[in-house]
Amino acid sequence: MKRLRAFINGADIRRFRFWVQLGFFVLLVYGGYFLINLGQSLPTFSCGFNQPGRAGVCYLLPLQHQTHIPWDSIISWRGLGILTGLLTFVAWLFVFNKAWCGYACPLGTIQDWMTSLRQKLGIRYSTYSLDWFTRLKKIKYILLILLIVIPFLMANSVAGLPTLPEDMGTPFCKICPARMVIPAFTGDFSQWTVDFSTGTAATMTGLGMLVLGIFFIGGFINKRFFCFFCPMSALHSLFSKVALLKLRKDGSKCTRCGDCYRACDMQIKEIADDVESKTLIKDDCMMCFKCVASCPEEGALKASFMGIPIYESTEAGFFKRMTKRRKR
Amino acid sequence: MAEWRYWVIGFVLLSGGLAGSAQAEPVWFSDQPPDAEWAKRAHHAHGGMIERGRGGVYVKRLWLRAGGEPASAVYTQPADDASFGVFGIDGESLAPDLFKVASGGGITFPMPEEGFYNAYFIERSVEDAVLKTSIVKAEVLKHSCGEGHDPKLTASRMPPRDRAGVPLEIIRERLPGEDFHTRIRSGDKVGFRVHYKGSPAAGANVSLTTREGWTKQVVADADGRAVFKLIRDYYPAWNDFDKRHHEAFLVTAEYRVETPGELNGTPFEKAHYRATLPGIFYPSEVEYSSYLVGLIVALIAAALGAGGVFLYRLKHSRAGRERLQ
Amino acid sequence: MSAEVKAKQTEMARKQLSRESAQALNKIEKDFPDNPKAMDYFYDLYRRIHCEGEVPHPGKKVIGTTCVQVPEELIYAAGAVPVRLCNGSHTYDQLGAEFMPAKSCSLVKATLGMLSSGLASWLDEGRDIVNVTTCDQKTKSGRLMEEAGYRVHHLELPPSKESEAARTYWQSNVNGFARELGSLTGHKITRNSLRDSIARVARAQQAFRRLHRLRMAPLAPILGKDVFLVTNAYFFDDIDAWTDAVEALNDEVEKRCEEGFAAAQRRAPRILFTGSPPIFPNLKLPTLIEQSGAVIVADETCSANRMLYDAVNVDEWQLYDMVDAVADRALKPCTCPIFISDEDRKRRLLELARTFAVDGVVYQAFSGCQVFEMEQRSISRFLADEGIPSLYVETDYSPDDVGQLSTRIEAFIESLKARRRRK
Ligand code: SF4
Ligand code: SF4
Ligand code: SF4
Ligand code: SF4
Ligand code: SF4
Repeated sequence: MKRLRAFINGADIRRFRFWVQLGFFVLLVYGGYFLINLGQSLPTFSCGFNQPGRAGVCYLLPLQHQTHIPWDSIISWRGLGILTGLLTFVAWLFVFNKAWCGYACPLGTIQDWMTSLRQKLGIRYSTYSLDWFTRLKKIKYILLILLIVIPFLMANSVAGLPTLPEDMGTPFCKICPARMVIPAFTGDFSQWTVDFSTGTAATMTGLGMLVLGIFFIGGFINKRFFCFFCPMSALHSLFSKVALLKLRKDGSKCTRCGDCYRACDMQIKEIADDVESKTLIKDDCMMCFKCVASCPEEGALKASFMGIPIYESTEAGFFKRMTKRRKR
Repeated sequence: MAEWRYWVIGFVLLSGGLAGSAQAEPVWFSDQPPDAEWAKRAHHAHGGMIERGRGGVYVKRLWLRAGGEPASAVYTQPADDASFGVFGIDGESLAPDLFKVASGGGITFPMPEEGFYNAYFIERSVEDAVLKTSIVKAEVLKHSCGEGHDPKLTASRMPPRDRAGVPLEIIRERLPGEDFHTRIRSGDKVGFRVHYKGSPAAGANVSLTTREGWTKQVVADADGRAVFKLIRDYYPAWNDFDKRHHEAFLVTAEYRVETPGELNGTPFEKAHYRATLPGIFYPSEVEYSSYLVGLIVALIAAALGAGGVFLYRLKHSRAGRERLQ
Repeated sequence: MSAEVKAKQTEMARKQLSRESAQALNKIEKDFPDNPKAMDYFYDLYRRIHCEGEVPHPGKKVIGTTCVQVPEELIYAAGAVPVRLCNGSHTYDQLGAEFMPAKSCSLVKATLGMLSSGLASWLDEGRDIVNVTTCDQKTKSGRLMEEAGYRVHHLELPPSKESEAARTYWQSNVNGFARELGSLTGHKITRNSLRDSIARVARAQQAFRRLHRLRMAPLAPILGKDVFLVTNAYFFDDIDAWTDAVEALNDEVEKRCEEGFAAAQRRAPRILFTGSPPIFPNLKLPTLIEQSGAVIVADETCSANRMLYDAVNVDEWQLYDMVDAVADRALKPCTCPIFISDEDRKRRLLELARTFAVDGVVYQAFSGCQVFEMEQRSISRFLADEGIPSLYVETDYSPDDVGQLSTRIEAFIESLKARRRRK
């Protein structure tokens, strides 16, 4: 048992993540061809527009359909539909928490591949200054609110204003880069267009293509560029406190060396600086556990599942990884 | 160019009209309500207009209309001696209700399960020693996203059905990879099979007419097959364009056999069958979306982004160097 | 002063210096029984360098450093050898007094004394020094070194380490230093050279951490005075030879642990040493403590733990990330009192006290070292609140206070023993 522990704690998390991510990528992007269907409420960007390939649907898609609902039918089977969708979503999240982002999300994985490419080319990454970091991180919440409110305003007129046009339907999907990027992996480029059928449609799809262009540059230069703005991550963070998988910290063992912060793709400063909290899952965290792997202090950081530590920072593991990666 | 097209359409219409005048107008099913009052009860759903029955179950109401052109066909009343029926998704027979109201009539039936329902309305009469049979058919899809998208279920409920008991049957072939969400669009090639009592009706005259009156007539091949390429039938001003616009088509098949017989004691020498099947299609994506513009927008955004990062870095690395000196 | 008089003075100082070093070494080596065999490497090293005046890195490009915050990985990567100039000799302390105000830190005075005497300079004719702007005395002494004819790179350190602004400022200073090192040595720092030097330092740190961990054993397997000698040698020894020697020592110490060997008395109180750094030959306080029957099991000083404990973590093995990583390592975990906050130092002391089952803390402050003197109150109060007894000792390099100190230390150790018995 002790040897197994030591083996796991000495594991090279990057390699492990690479393979797990690849596995999930194949599953979620091509699983549909093997008739795999994980339902409609996946807490990850298994894009619904990736038609035959998807092995389940990103929860944001049904959510945006479901909130297109007139007031009076909220208390009905349609309201019930919203509730069951949300409960299924929370159930998925309850188990794996935000590790859906660090290990499963195809769009996250694509961004990690872009990062590896940049790294191979020896181009420096960019980061946000702390100022911009705190300012920009709110965007994901704004997007989350909009993607719920806009469909609702399509079905209801508020304060006598006319309802929003139908072409505002699934507003976030329109500007979500996954809509273009993920179907492209099954050879479907049909989303890479601007729809001129109405002014609204042209604006929304034009915005989508704009975001796509920015996604490629941003994702190349900034680690996990899009995740920082992702409303899915915002939705996760509403429920991440209760989930079974946790990132825990023992502040007394932390030297605040910042090694974990250096490794964090999401620029989470608290992971090094906060020595008070016992559980440290910030809203941007994707639970990749790179920080755990980069901490040289015994047991300062750990990933735990239902209170059982599954991956823990150790001195031996730290130096083993450093030596190994240096050689490669 | 455009004028030339209208000339052709006009000619076709004229000849169609002349041909039509030789016999009674074709009758077909439509789910479009005849007036504002009925329109209030109808809702949009996948597969066309529906009404909500008890417990939210989808109810289909099909109206009988007469006329070869979908745009101008009138709503008619069903004949009392007609036979009708609906077959559910597993081919089981359902009992539809016949209805007659001031503005028209037809049949209505509930659709509790996902999949395709086949509705038939058959009228027979003997005129001048010829048996005339009109087979009105509609293939109706029931689908609600709320019930999920189990691909296995969809696959099992996609294949078209052949009703051997129906004398002349038009069956729409499925598009490649079709599912409950697939839209037929202008520009698509759509195939139909015409079966006479269960076997291919080679040589049947099959025609397809769009709402605006464009018609094409072909003769079914040895397999009873007729293929049409749907034309673009929708020309609004660009700012009025609606990509969800329903364009309508009506397929009519005519088949004659020289077999004598009798209907309710009236003898006839030959028989003339006519089957109708309506359908809808949508504007094609190429009519309103542009890859070129999309790529240009994305490329401009990418170029601006890359340029911005480059300049920012240039400035900052210079600043760094200056600080050193 | 005529050249003749000066030469005579120099000669006298040289003799005094080797006498001071030999005395200190003798005390450390001979006054204690059962020294580990592997310590002979270190005793011999000090004998050669300090007593006989051997130059540590003949023929190599040497760059002097004055603080743990100099990222030594960069110096190795630029093809040079870092040598830490912080000095512990009373002889130099007296020589340096000439340049500094009366109440100044012995360490700074001794360092200046060594540099101005031109005696046993470990530097080459380039006379290159990196001076980090830590405490005021060090900062200003950088200027005095320039006056004494050295080429000094002033590496600016921010006065706090919490803010991102401080971190970026420091990183950009370290990047500037890295660029300058390239032109100084003629070897540009490359991806490979920096990767290798990070590896070399990491190997040394691993060796140190192993030794550190071995000292957690309930029966102290090695005395603190020896460990200070070992870590002091890191100032000037060849890093690879040092690492091998420490690993050999580790093996021996590990064996001692397995055999249940105790380097001190079985019930000797366990001491955590903190404050101004003991540097050979000034191991006055550590030796006094251990002669009085206690054992130093851990320390929080910049001549040992703070210098060798914290590890570099690189995320992307490219030059851009490696230089920043090395900079972060120097700044972020540092518990030096020159920073505004003392929170990290408190937490570090507490953690060391807990994991090493410490009975008491000895806090050394060189008289004249304002920052350590200023932090004394808050640290002592904090330790008292945590129920850990501590002794505050203000001292310098002169041997005059030994008698008075040993009385205080013996009393403290007695009280620790009494406290233990009561438990
Ligand atoms: S476009 Fe984005 S939000 Fe919409 S279904 Fe696809 S991944 Fe989800
Ligand atoms: S935050 Fe990133 S990884 Fe998570 S769902 Fe959004 S795009 Fe995917
Ligand atoms: S790497 Fe570990 S010790 Fe360093 S700051 Fe992070 S948690 Fe603390
Ligand atoms: S805090 Fe740790 S687990 Fe979360 S994103 Fe950063 S490195 Fe990954
Ligand atoms: S002991 Fe104090 S005064 Fe002396 S160099 Fe260190 S911090 Fe500065």
